[in-house]
Amino acid sequence: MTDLWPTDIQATDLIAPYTIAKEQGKLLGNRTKNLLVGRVRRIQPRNYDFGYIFTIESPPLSYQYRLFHFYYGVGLYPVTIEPDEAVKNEVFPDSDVITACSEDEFMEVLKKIFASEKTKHLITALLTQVQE
Amino acid sequence: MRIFLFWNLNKKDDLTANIVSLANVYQIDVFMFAECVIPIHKILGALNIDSVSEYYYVPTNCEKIIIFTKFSDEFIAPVVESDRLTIQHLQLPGSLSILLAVTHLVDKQNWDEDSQNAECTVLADSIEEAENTVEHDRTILVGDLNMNPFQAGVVNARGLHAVMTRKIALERSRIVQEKSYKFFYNPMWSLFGDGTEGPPGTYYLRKSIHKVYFWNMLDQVLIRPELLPVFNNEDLSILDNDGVTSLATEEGYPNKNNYSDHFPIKFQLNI
Repeated sequence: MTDLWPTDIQATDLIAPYTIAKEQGKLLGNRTKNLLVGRVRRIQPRNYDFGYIFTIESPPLSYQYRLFHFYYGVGLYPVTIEPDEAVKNEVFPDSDVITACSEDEFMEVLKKIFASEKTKHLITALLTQVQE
Repeated sequence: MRIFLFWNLNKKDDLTANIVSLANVYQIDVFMFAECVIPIHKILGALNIDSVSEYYYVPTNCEKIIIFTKFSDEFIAPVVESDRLTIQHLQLPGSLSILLAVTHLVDKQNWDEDSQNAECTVLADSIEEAENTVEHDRTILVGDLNMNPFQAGVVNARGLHAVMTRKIALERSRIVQEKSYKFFYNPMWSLFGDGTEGPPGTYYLRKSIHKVYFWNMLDQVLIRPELLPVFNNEDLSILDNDGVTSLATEEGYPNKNNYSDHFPIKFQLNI
């Protein structure tokens, strides 16, 4: 059978939102000696090809907090982010829909979510509790 | 035996006396509130005046749900949480441990039905995560789902998968396209309409549009089959009073001017 596929099939240079979020989750683990980690799980997408949820988890406490969802199509970008309501009200008060059109924009959104008072409070509280 | 009560307080700031009355008359062990704007210390102080058993506030990371228990918070621990959900592992001495999931899901004003149904999928996943963590399925889900028992998100296998009879629920799960989905039993079906005692639903809405249900069962209790041996249907009720004062209008609808636009739901588990 003749191979009809083009010869230049290859992965794009783009970094998928899933990969970025997953790496950030690992970095939280590194910062906290794995007392807390960020995990990314696939969920059923709404009107998109891919959907994920990012949770902050404390393995010693067997506890997880669902911080935000994100969705995107096969083109990887734009990506739609749905943060925790308190985080959204604090960091994106004027946005009904939070969209990132590139890797940089997605990372900027994640940075804001991670730096929100709600997220920082959550991390502080969990670290305090796990060290008691 | 433990008695639970869930009530959407509709952001009313003056329902403390009603809560105290519910506690005293119905001997509530676990209070779960949605849309609660009453300061926690105010409720706790009122509950613990002249009370034989002391109530405790259960701290959570979920701003939408407030929980008080008649036992120390050392017996209850969060497992999975989000802004609209808290799943607590309740391990009372000498009692069967259970997962208590309490939620206030997104409303119909701001979310279309497809989006509400999709949220049920996320909720179902969260519950499964918690069940995997504690390694049992003795779960009860209670809250304002903002959906009726017949809506797709509540019924779908890939949603909450809540069915209307014990017999079906006791099959424990069913397979759709080679994937197994666990059942919930939804006893609220039995309280829907005027064939049983008590209000026909928990929320009443009359609008001048073609499709209107009038009575809705937005507040629900869903029970995993593993907990059915400790749950009797007659121990579930929709309350139109706090034991002393009516929470309803003269016509029998929730008196939203003076109290909440939702009636409380009360149930008992023999744990």
